[in-house]
Amino acid sequence: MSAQKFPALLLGAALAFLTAFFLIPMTVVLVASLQDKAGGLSIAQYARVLADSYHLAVVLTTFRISIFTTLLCVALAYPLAWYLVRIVRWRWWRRACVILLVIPLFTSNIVRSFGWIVLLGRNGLVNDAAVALGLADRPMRILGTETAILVGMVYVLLPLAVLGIGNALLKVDRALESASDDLGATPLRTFLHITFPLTLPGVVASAVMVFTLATSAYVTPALLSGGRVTVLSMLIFQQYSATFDFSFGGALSIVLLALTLILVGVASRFGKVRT
Amino acid sequence: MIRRFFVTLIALLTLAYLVLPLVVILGSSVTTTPFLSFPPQGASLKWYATMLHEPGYVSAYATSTMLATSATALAMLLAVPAAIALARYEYAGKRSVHALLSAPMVLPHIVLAAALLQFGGSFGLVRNFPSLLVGHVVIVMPFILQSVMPLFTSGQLALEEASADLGATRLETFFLVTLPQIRPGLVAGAVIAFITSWINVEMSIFNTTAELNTIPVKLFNYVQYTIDPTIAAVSGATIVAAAIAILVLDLSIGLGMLDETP
Amino acid sequence: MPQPLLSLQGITKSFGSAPALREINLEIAHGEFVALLGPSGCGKTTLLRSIAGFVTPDSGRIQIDGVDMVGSPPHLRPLNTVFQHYALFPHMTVAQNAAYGPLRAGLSKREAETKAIEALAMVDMARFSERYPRELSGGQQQRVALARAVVNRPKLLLLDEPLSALDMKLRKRMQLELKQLQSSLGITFLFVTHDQEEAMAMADRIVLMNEGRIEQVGTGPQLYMQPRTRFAAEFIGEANFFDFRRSGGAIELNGGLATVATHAPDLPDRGLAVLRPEFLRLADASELSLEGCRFSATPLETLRLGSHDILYVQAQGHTMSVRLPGNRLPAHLPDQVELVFDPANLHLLCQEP
Repeated sequence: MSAQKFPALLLGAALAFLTAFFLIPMTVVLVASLQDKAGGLSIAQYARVLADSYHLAVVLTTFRISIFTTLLCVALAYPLAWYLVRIVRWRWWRRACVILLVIPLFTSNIVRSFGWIVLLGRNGLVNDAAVALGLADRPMRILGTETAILVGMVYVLLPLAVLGIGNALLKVDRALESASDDLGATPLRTFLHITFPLTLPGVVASAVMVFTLATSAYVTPALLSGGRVTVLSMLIFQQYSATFDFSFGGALSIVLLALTLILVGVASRFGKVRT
Repeated sequence: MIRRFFVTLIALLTLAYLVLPLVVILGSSVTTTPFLSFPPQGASLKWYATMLHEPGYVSAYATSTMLATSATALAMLLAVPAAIALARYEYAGKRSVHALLSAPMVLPHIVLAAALLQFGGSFGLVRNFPSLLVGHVVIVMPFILQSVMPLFTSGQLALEEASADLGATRLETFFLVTLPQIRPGLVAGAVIAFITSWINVEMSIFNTTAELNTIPVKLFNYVQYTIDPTIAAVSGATIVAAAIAILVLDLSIGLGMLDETP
Repeated sequence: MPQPLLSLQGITKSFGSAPALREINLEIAHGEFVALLGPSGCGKTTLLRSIAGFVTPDSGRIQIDGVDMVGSPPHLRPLNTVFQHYALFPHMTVAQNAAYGPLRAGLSKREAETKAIEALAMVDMARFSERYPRELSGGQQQRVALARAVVNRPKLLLLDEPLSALDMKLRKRMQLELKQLQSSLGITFLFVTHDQEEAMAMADRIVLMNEGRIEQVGTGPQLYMQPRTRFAAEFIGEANFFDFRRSGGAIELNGGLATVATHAPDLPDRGLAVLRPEFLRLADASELSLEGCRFSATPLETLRLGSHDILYVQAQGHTMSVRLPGNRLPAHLPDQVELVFDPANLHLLCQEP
């Protein structure tokens, strides 16, 4: 059943709701971002974001952490995905691994980060192990560094990357690999020339998704930063909970929003990644 | 073969990495010591009992659950008709509508929350249950939409046409034929929506108060200042709940993730 | 003249810029078994769905028993459809599927059940009433779909390629059963198919469609023996084509291959002639005087198919097929053979090629 007219009755509620509680609030933020201290129209707030060295450093820190998170996620996710899709033979074990993979996704980010607070603290397991193995003379400060945030972010986003890359691997037509073998290629060459390129769109899509989530993440950096590292989302939070500078907060928000939209646009070029 | 061995090794180490923090939390939640310690010294469930007796935690659990339930319910009421409108009708602007309805899923939650704070604050929609509800519905509705839409296949269309052909009105077709058929997607979407709402921090953080709090926000505020076994117990409880939810989901509907194509 | 059951006037439909139906005019009488036949994309399914109400034509009128159907949604039209993949409700039993229509019409649960069992009995599926569709074979599902559609005794039953998913033997059996069902119920059947043999086997009349237009309407034999266009001749059965040109009181085939004396009154100067392969035969060496046309040809390929043989020959650059009863062809054919045909079997196409 299809009709040319707009199904207003069916869409009305959802559209009204999202307009009221998504579009309009975002517009309010946009408008606020275009106001300077005097209340007039200007892009002074955006200048503050990009021109001020401290704010720029925050943006760069956010990017830096996100890029490393993405690289590490993909580097770890590919082998794990390969293992689950290509190596594991027992269905029950694969299912168990997937369940283990998904459980963290269903726990709050606080809980997941909290685990790392315990592990990375001065009395945590990591320091204990480092001292015991002789890698360090005394407990190091790990929490409150970019490394800690990196560890936490990779942890939080890894399952999504594994699922995304795993799905890309599943879609590879095994007949193509058989053809490659048949034509005399070694398994390594088959992987490099056939399999990996075929998974590339899915890998890139997963990478972009991880990067997007990493740049907009709030909880994990906030908890693992120890007050010493600031990322963009934390800066935004400050404007709305402490400084109450909604104009500047708006500019920061729009910058983050624009960045995310660009990334989403790029990702959709590489096809959907279904988790 | 050596390559397989290394890949397997990395994979298993990665899996261990994924499981480690959860094990640490569960472990330290049963310690007998009043301070956080891993490995735990002794084993006791007293911190779980402490958590259950503190009214702050109990009411936060209740609020989180009520919020997640009502957000999911409201999201279903909004998303299902929208899914029908997107799957069964052709009209100008359809792609924009779909993009709008899916947007909250990809955009930074902290930005959405800040926007709602500024907007809602101007007319009193702050620091109350409706203000929390509204933010949660916005972010979970896309999950229901995404979960239900793939079920509107051409085979499903044939069933709906058959129903109409046999004399059923549009409403009868929806309740007698469509709803039973999209139920798996509806259930899966509802579960994901519920959990997403339950564990969410950003959409709640601006609107919680001392009396109206959710577990994630309570944890978030607490953890920044101190960590103790009680917090571990609260966290442990959520891990156990997540594990049960996933198991139930997999055993009943089947997660179907990374399954080999038959 | 009695009122037709179904009357289509000027039905036109385009999807975007692609035209699907162009000015379709058709009348179907009560109790007929009619086939909409054509290749994929010819518009037959679109036409069927327009009659059912799932597609709204851009223009034209659809009348059932004189009542205009435009603006009438599917659930209000006095017809029922059997869908290509049956569309049985998976979450309902066979009996519940069959009772669906009567229940929607307002019958009580008991009345609906009775009618459902009655309809299922007609297709010999009553004993499966408590099963679910997924437990049934394709043929069984098809019968249930049929029962579900006829239980309401609609004025018109539409069938969308009903037998396409069945294997050969089952198809042949169902063709017979459908015909029997139709005559015992007296309902008008309109079915869509791309299989010309199926159309010939079941339908009283065939509506041949091509590229959104009705190419020709007629009984099977009419379409076979008197196709009006090249498409019609090619789509139904096998055909050999000859270009012909009038010369005197005769027509000359393929620039002199053979000449046929004819007394047909209004002959066009040139055109296309059709000869079915079974009307060609090999001439005996002893046949000297004949009442036929004969010409030489070079044998190319032989297909021996048991019940009949097909011989492909080439004459003056044209390839033709000859259909012979089985087991008659010698094992080795000479380089040249003589072919004979009765000019009465040569059919001249009305339209220019």
